[in-house]
Amino acid sequence: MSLIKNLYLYTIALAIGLSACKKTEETPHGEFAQGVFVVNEGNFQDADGTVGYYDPTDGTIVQNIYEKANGSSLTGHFQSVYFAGEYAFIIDDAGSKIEVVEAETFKHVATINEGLNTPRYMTVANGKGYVSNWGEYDATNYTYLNPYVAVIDLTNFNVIQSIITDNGVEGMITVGNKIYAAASFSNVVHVIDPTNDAITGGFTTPGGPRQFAEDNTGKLWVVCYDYATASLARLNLSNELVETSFSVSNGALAIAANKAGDKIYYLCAPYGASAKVYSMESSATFAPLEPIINGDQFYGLGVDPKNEIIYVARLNGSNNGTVIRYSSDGTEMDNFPAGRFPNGFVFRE
Amino acid sequence: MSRRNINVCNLFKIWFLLLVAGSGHTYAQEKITHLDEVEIVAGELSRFGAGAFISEVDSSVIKNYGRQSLAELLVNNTSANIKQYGSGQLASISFRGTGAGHTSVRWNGLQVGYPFLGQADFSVIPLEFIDEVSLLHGSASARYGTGAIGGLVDLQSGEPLGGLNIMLHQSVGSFGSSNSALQFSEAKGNGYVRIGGFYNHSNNNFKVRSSNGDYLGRQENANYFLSGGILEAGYQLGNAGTLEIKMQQASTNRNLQPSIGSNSLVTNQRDENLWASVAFERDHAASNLKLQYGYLFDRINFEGSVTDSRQNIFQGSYDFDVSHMLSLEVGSNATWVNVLTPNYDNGEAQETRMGIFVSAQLQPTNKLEASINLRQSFATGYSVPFTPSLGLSYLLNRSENWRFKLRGQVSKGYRVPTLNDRFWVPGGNPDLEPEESVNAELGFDLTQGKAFWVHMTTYKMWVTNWILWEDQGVFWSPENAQKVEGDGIELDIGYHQAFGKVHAKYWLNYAYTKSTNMEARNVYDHTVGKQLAYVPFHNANAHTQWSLNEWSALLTAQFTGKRYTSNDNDNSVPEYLLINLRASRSWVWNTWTLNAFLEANNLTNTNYQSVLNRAMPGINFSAGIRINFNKPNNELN
Repeated sequence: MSLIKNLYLYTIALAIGLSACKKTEETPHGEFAQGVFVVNEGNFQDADGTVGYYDPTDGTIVQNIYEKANGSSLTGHFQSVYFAGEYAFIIDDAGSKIEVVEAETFKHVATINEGLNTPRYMTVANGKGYVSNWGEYDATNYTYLNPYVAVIDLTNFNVIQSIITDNGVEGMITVGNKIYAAASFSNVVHVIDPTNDAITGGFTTPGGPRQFAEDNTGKLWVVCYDYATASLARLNLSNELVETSFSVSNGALAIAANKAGDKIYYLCAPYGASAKVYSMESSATFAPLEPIINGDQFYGLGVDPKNEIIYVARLNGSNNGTVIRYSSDGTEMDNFPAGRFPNGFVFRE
Repeated sequence: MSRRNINVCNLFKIWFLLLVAGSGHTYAQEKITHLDEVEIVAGELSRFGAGAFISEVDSSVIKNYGRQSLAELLVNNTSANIKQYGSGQLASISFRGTGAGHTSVRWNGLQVGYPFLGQADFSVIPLEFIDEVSLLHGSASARYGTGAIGGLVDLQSGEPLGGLNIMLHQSVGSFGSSNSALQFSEAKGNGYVRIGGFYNHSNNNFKVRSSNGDYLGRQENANYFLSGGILEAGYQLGNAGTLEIKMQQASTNRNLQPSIGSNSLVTNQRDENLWASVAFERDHAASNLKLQYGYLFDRINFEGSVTDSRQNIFQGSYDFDVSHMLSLEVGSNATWVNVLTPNYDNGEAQETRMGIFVSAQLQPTNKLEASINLRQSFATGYSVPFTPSLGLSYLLNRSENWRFKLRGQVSKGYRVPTLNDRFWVPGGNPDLEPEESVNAELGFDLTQGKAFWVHMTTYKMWVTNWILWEDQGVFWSPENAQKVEGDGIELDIGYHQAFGKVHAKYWLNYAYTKSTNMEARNVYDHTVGKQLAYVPFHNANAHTQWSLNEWSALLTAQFTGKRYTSNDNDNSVPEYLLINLRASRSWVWNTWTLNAFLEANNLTNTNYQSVLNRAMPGINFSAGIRINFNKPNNELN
């Protein structure tokens, strides 16, 4: 049974890597004010997700910063971590909850466990939090029902509204005064207006839009993968049209831009073949021919905005994973240990 | 038993009503005098098993608890380790440092468990109907086929006592739990019939504490119901032999206990198990013929997604004494498995497994015994390794009271990849190789009648092609990933003392287990030389029992050592010690016996976890009665 549940849920829920590259303008104070945060989703059965910390200036590694800050460990399966102002939001998709901590100390602030159902990613706009929710798991059809974006009041951490979306709503990003939400089991990217919390438009993308990266021209690259084909698409936000789209290697999971936004990196981890990281100009109209990194069991990608060092999260089976660092041309630099099932990074300057 | 005394139709009706009413539990009739803890070497398993270590759970321990799953029984009474995903939840066994699919489970001679998973859930196999629980330690595929790598758990329901028997059991306990069982049996003359049903329920809303002891509210969404029944009948066909029919049905409806912190999640699973056996046995002075047909239906309904398996099993064996020094056996078995599931490409998969075996037991002197087992198996799509075993035992010393016996064996085991391993979509890997093991052991048995015993075994185990499901980025897939070496010690000590009217008994099981992956898969693999996940180095249980006339008290301590949660040994769940106390009194009036008992479990209110972040109950209580009625045959007209 454990295997069954494991497999049911993993097949659909856990196969998606994440690259999160969030920027804030905060002045650092706390122990974890600056540095690289590693999201370790944990083993599904053990609910032992953690957030790790890496200080690139001196190589300091703290594996479970929540436990260090609070004396006991969180439980859950952490899909992503989002930093907003003085808070960080640790999103537990299996447990349908969000743990709110102080961004710089990771001290516990609140737990949001009402109004969420398989929450995945978060963004903030107009002073409110927006969290994509896959909805209720339907084991009969191996899918999730009634997906939505939950709107969170950041003063009291209550879910105050639900915005119904297409299936598998996944990556979220705020650009200008709009929110873009990728419905990964469909071919739709929703546009949400945070002033009235309504869907005002959308893009039709190649199948399976998942994650976004904003480029230097204010356009959004979205990585799409629907288990059959994988593509990249460039969204023109001003006219809400897909400007460019092209196929990429199968298994495209994660995307990240450098700080300038002129270079886009993406990760393809197809089953049964080696994983690859590619880079391209933000003006690209076709897929790069050669990857800059080859490897296996890659599960997450991040690019340090400070120096364009590439961070790749590598699984080691069900054991604790490894983070491998590469220079921007793909030359391996070093590696450091992560927790179980590392899936992404957040860089805080 | 003559037909005029038993109306089978009526018994069927009773059985059906019991199931519908969701009531009843079956216990074999039992004499409630003193709990006579005697180490009996299980007959069935010891045949052609010289040199192997076979342990048996005392039948009084099986029967005398208010509520107890097979998982709890084994962890409290044997050296096997059990991993449980919460209270009353999925439980799997780890025997001699091996994995959940590496122990074969047999019910009345049939290999049971979910064939698509290749393992049994020790929390849904009802104990109510079982009279004997025996363990064969170490690889045993040479006689028992696939899956017997770490060992074998053998469950048998026996023949009822002569005459008419009625048993009623009712207990209630903490967290809204109740257990009910009812059984009728009649044995007379040429045959017997046994019929019964049970119903167990628990709200399972115990108090949950975090790892540092903070109270987190009550457990939610972990409630469960188990119900089922048996129908068994045996008939002596004159000199031709005996025919036995056994059927057991069990339904489990559980909410799967969420991890700590995810209390509100509701995940429901319903299991249905219907096991049936028709066995013919012809037992002559120097020969024994056995033919058995088994039908096993097993269903898991996980949140509406239904997987069904149906197995047809034919097996037969013939053994005979060539001389007073040599016995031989030849046998064969065949299993047809059909699985219907939405998880495979065509919605179904089939598998045929067959095996032929030859066994010899030699006793050249009255001190030396040897057994040789040779088996060749066949399975759809696989070339299965030839599995031999060789065992020896030597009675070194035999004084009036004391016996000292040395024993040892070398045996091979294997497991063919499960249907899920091969066909699951996505990720199933049709190119997997069977897992193989070699097990070598040495041990001794020192016994002084029934008053004192020491059984000690040291073993070494090698498992190659160990299958692991791993995340491949896009989805999970199994591979022949590990080469595992293990070694360990198993110890079973007991002492029985009587002073005046007080009978005291002390017994202890202990296992030291080391089980290690030997092969790095790449430069990032840090698991080599480290203990496998969820295999404790140390586990033990100790028991003290006092009986005075109709009073009895049993104190049990169970220790499970620290377990790592992954094979790189970076994180662990802490060790724990649980103490349980049980007191009972019985009253006898003529043909009636009433037994009343009180149990207090986890007396020290220890906050512990079997699997990381799955809460387990603190101190809890249970009280109950059992009424037995036995009217021997000579009083029947």
